[in-house]
Amino acid sequence: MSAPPALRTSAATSATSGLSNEIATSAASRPRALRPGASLPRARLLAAPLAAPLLLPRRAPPAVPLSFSSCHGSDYLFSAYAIIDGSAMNTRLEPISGAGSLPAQRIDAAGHAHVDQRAVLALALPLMANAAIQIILNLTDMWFIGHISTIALAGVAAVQWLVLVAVLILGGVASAVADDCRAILRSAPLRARIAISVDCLMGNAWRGHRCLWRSALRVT
Amino acid sequence: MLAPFGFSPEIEQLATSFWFPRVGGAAFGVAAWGMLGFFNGIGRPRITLFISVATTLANVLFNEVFIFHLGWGVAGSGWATTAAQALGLLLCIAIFLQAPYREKFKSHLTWHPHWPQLREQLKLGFPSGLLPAADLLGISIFQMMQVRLGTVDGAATQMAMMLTSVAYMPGFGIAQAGTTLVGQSIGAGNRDWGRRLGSRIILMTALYMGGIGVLLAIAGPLPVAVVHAGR
Repeated sequence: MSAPPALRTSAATSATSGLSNEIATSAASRPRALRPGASLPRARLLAAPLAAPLLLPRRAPPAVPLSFSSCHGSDYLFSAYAIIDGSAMNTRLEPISGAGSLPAQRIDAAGHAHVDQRAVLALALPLMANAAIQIILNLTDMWFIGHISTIALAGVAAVQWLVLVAVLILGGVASAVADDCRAILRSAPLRARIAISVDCLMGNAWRGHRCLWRSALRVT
Repeated sequence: MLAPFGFSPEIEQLATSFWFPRVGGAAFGVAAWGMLGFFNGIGRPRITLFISVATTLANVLFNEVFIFHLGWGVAGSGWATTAAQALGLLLCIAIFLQAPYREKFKSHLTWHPHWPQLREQLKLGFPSGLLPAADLLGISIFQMMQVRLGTVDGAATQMAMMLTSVAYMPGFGIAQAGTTLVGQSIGAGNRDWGRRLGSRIILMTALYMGGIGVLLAIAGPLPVAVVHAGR
């Protein structure tokens, strides 16, 4: 899970910070890699190393001391880099400590990955508050119906859970929409599928609406 | 449908008058649920919270108007919930079609159905909805038995069941956050991290629900008295 600090990439230099090591090193992330059994472009492979010294200008190694700068990227915080004057390459000299590239991941100074409790809570608290609102909604209904009479409360109690059963059977598709969004979110080329998932839900809601009305009419 | 349970005619009439508006309008709730799932899935739970607060406030207002001012009784409560959910859905759609979502998720291109995706969605979603529905079916049969035993028994059980939701509903919130993060980990191609994250969130949820459960068990009569004092 955790890699040595020297192997980590910074937000400034990594184009695959949102991907895991498995994806970043797979053939899928290297579209130029050959499939098994495919023929090698021998002529180009042979010509490239021979032509490189002729095409690329030679540059003398820097003889100047290293200067330090602080990087405040979206993924890593307070990383120190040595910038070699006259070169585009940055070399990090200190271990980093900050947010990892995966959800709710925190990387400590030793380069170990931990679950970031704050990140989990930041997401969970509004959802918990939302659930608390649902409780208030149910209690409010109960309070109002209780004001009519005890028998009214009992009458509603007889079917309220059955109503939830009907809602849940249809709502399973709604929960699938959320799961789809979550899984798709990180794969940018498929992002447009989220909209399609919601579209599916709307189609389902329409069909479910007709079904529920038929059911309601049957009961009455 | 309710006949086999042997309720008194009065209870059956009240249950039916609640069932019709509540189930008939459930599609609004389901559609709003799905759209809130979209906002949760893309990591915007604050929008979900905002819409839920608006729906709850609307529900209070509609309950007051429909039950007491218009005199619709129990049916008024069902219609109030339906109207509040329809309002919540309208809010969802209004936010969903805003410029940032149109640009990023092409939300304005979702007006016509895509049948293959719809079939795929139903194949995945229908069984996942059946599992909690089967669980709730057991609770609903238990509740019906209580109402059949006696009106006061049924009403008291309903109060107790609603109050126990204080223990498990916020636990669902943590679990939802867990599914978001685990889903994103899987989407990022790292199942190991998803497993580790999921285990930690299960522990957090169990601690929360267990703690609140113990608190409710100790201080049980107090919240019941608060709710009962409203009568």
